[in-house]
Amino acid sequence: MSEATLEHGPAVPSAETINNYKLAMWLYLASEVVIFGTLIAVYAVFRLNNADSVQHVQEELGLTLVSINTFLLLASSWAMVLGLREAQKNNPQGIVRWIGLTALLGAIFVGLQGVEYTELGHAGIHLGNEYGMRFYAPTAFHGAHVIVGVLWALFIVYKARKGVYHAKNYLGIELFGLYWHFVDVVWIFLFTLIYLV
Amino acid sequence: MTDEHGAQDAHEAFLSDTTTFLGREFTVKGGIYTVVFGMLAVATVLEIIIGGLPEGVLLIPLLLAFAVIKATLVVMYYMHLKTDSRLFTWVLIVPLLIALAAMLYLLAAPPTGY
Repeated sequence: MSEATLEHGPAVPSAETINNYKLAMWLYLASEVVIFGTLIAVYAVFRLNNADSVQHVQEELGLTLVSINTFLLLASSWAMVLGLREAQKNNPQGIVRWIGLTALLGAIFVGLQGVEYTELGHAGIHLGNEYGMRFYAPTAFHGAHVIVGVLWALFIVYKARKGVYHAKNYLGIELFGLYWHFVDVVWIFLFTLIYLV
Repeated sequence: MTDEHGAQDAHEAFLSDTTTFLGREFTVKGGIYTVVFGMLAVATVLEIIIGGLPEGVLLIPLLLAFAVIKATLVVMYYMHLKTDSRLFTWVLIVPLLIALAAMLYLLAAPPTGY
C-alpha cells in the first residue's frame, strides 16, 4: 500500500499492513546496521593500532561541541516520540509542535557538525589523513542520515498540518520514528567510540 | 506478534503520564518517554565525566557498557521493541551479531600497513 493510499484510501491501515510496513523498516535498518558496523570497525581497528595519534586528535577535537550535539540528538528523539504520542492522542497541533522541534534540533545538530568539521579542517584533519578518512566516513555518513531525517520530519509536519494523522492513523510517524531513533542509536555508539574511547 | 490485549495495555501505558521504571513510580509529562530521556541524559553526563578520567583497564569496557545501556533504552522504549513483535527484535539482533563478529575478527587480525 502506498503512502498516497494511506492518505486518501482507507484512513485506518489494518494491523497486518502496519506490521508489514514496520517489518520493512526494520529490514532496512538491519542493512544500515551492517553498513555502520563496517565503518565503525574500520575506525576501531585504526584506534587499536594507533592509540597515541588518536588520543592526540581527541585532545584537538575537545568534547564541548560534540557533547552539545549529543544532547541535541537525544532531545530530538524525545521530541519525536512525544510527537507520536500526540498523534495517538489525536492532537494534530501537538504533532506539528513536537515533530517540528525534532526537525529543528536535527538541523542544529547538522549545523554544529559543520562547525566541528571546519575547526578540524583548520587543525589539519582532512579526508586525506589516515585518521581523517576513518573519522569522516562514519560521522559524515551519519550526518547525511540526519539531513534526510530532518527533511522527512518536515514532510511529516506538512502532512500533519493537512490533518493526515490521527489516533487511528499514525503509521507514517511511527516509521519515521524508527528511522530517527536508529540514527540516534548510531550516534550513541559513534560518540562513545570516536570521542570518548 | 503480541496479542491484542497486551498491545492495547502497552499502548495505554505509553500514553499515560504515570509510569513505573526500575521499580519506582513517576508522574511526569511525557510519562515513560520523559523518564527514559532523563536516564539517557544522566548516562551521557556520566559518560563524559568517566571519559575524562585517566585511562585504565576498565575505562573502555565501562564506556561501552554505558553506550549499550543507552542504545538499549532507545530501542526498547522509543522504538517500542519492548512491546512490539519479537520478529523485529530478531531482525535487529542478527545483523548486529554479524557486524559484531566481523568487528572482533578485524580487531583480532594482526595489523599490517600502519
